[in-house]
Amino acid sequence: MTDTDFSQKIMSAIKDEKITLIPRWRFLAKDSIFWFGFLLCATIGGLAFSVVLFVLTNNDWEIYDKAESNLFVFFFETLPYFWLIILVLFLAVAYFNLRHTKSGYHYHLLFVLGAVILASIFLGAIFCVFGMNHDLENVFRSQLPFYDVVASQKEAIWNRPEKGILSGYIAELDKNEKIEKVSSSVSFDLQDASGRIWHVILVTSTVLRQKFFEDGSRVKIVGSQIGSDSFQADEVRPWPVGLRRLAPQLVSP
Amino acid sequence: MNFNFDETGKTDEELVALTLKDQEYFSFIVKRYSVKLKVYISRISGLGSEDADDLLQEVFIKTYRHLNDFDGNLKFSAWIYRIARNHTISHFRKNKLKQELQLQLDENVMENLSSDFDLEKEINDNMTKDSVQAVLNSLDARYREVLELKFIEGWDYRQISDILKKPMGTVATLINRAKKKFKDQLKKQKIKI
Repeated sequence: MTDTDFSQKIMSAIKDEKITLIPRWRFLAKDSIFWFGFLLCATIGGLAFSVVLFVLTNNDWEIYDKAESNLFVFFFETLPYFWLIILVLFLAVAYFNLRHTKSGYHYHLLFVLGAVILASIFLGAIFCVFGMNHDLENVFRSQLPFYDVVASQKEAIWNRPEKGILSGYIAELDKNEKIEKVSSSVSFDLQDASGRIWHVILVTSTVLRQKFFEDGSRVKIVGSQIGSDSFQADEVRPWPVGLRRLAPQLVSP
Repeated sequence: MNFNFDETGKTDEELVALTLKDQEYFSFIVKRYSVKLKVYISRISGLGSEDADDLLQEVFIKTYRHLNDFDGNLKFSAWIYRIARNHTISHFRKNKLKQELQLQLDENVMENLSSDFDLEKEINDNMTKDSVQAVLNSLDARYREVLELKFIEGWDYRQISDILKKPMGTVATLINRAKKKFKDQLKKQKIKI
């Protein structure tokens, strides 16, 4: 068969079978969907990465010896596995979407991962500044029944009064007004994760203007158990929230 | 059809633009690529002439249907080779053909292969087309494919990247590894010869 014969055969087939061009908009729509999928998944991955960073940087590394016997165990016990799984999952889907865009094949996997992680750090910083990681965690906690199970390592670690660490919500301060200055001691009731009420005594001469230190605030305490329901605090720290709310840091004697 | 049309000075991309306005111009694209693509399809699939013609017809019709998807940043030749490659692979998968895609070399390929590949020493008169073909077919499909595109078809890295839809760095790595494996296999084969 000559070139001419073959081309005539093709043209006849196109005409006889009424084969038409697929409209351009369909290709554009398909490409746009994959780009949108990539950007969406990369953003969610970024959000997850910001939470991971936030958890790791607010992991109370300096008191690991109170919680665990060594740093290695403490590190793996406190890793935010839920968010790491979300991160890996969405990065994989983001990469899948990118590879299915028209030009996505130009980018190497490592380049894409690097770019997404850099973008995640940038996004993560924004999310952190606006406290979105904390808000997100609250939404997950209230909406997903299994979330508490996978995200409760921190509560578990901070609920070991016998080892001198305790956390919970300030149920009632010993003064009705916000504390401005104390020279002797402050005591307050604290409700821990199991609902148990602790009477906490903080011996301090520090001027207290910390906003977190008020009724209803969630706090972490380092000290020692001095009775079945009483605890002496050496330090009171805010339970980590977004950077926006982290300005006040530590209350110590 | 515009019988007075002289397509010799037209680029592929210009012919595509003309085809989008008038389907008759597609016949010039078919004429320009039918022989090259038939050789390519036969080479990568080992199909006989009639089967290759059938597959080629499907490739051209698919190309025509997808013309609006052609990206002007690519070379049309790389794009149509990508369609031919993918269609040939999916033909084998769809029909559940047990045989793997096997390279079929012709005699004039040997000269190109030995000079382009810097293998004058390895590929000599003692090496027949069949033995080189056997060595190539003994390689992993991804290595065989890049060697074929680079040293038999003569594509550059950018075009191979566009045909295989892989990053250029990956293509370069694959080619280097493939060359090494090919040379290793040649040495082994030469011992046997």
